[in-house]
Amino acid sequence: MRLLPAWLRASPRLWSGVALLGLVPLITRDAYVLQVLSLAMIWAIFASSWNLAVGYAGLKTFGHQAFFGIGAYVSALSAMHGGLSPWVTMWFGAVAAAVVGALVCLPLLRIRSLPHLAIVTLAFAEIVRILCSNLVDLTRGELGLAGIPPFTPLSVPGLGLVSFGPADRASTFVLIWSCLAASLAFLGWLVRSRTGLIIQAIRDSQVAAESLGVSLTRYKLFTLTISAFLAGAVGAVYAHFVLVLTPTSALGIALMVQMTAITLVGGIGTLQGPLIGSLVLTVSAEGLRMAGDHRMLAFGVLIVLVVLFAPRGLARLDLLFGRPSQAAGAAR
Amino acid sequence: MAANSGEDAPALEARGLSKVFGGVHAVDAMDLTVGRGEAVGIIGPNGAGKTTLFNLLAGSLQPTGGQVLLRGADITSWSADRRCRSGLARTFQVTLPFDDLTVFENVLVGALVRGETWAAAERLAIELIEHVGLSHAAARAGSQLSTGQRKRLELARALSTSPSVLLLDEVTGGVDQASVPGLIDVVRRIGQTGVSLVIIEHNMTVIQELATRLVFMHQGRKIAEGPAGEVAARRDVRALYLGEHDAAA
Repeated sequence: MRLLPAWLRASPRLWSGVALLGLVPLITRDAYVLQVLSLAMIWAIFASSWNLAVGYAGLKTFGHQAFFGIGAYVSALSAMHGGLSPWVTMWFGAVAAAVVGALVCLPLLRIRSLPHLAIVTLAFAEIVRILCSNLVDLTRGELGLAGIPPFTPLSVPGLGLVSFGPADRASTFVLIWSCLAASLAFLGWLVRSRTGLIIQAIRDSQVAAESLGVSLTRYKLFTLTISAFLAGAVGAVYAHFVLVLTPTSALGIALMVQMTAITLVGGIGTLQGPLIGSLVLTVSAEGLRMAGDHRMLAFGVLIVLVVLFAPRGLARLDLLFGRPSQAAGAAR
Repeated sequence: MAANSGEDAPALEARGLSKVFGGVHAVDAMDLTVGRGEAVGIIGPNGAGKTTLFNLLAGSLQPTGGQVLLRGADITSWSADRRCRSGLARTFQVTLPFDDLTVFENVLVGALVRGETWAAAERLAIELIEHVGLSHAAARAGSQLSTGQRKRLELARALSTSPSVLLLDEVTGGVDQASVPGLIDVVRRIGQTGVSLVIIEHNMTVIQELATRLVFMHQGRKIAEGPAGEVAARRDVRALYLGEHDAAA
């Protein structure tokens, strides 16, 4: 076990769960099941990026949908108009989101009041959405940006040419699962690193952290930039997965509400929380379709029950998932 | 006035330091000199401006006027984190532990920010936690500590930054009487390592045990300064601070 890195040893149940999830295409090839689980994994990555800023660094931002949407639109538009492969353009989307994240962070650093920070970031995201809606010549606004190419086929040794089109749900599932595993591995390493410990200290007390020599500007800027990069990257993956974008679907406030619910239900400030929350809420939202008109009512009741009986999130229920380790030093 | 520099300069100096909040002079033209390895006590009634003075010295607040010098260097415009990295650390009257981090991690943060390698920072954290008598609670979260333990944690955390000057804000405040001698012992041992101490304290017995020199503040101003025994015995100080009006008569 010592051969494994600390971040992997620290969360064995999480990695076991991720590994099991990766086996799903071997169990079923049902396109609907794979589609729902693929979406759940996309939301898990997006919620994880938000969780890094809010749950680990205490930056109460409510504008992450802007980074997701910027990543999605930049990647889609550069693939459509630039003729570039989505494998390349997804990094354009991620970098564009990161640059915007860093620029947005600079004025935000002056705001210490949480309600003000929340409203300013929300307003920023709405500005991006409205801008996107009005740039009809470029984005087609709410008519939807259609014709986005899927990820181009890859030549995989032993498997030949693997496609990721709408008919190739299993290979697309594996692609998104790989993104999820890579994102969680990166975040797992980050939060257990020197930087991770320092950003958690900032979350708990900015004043105390500053009194220990921590440069708040430097670490907040770093965290929001990384968080925006991840949101932008997964936004790009989303664009080349659903193949059509509208400002409401990729930049709407409902997306942020959904990520908030996923993170809170799963467990804010934990590595496994966003994945657990996303699987529970995305799958149950689909499962509750049988409830017809009462579906959203039942969905609401489910969230209320989780908040009542697991107010710190499902990931913090010791019996189910073990105590989420926060002790960065303990695993070293 | 030109600042002293090099080895001759005091560890910490405030020159005409002032802070005005909406017309109220919280700190008014305060002069303070702390020698290297010296322990200076700041006393005064509630609202005298002691904590505001600490906030000005530590960089949590920017002064309305005056200067702060650390070993002769003018640090008035420096941020709190830069002051800390230059050797000026502090504790807080209302303790601020990192609630979700363990005691060990709380102390580790300061050592890591100082630039230690992870292994060296861990060794330093273990040593400091032992130094302040918190080894038994090293794995406990900051939120689970008693007031006395929080005060000890603040001391260990401040020491993890290797300060040359340490500002201690009511280190025994709110602590049960049984824990006070232990805390006094910890602070005294810190002083013996050559760290200059500036101590705010309400308990006169404690401050006279720890500080060699006292500064008495009232309404933002320095009223008296001198050897601890002399200042504590002054009639005007006892009248203003302890309400012993007979003493002033």
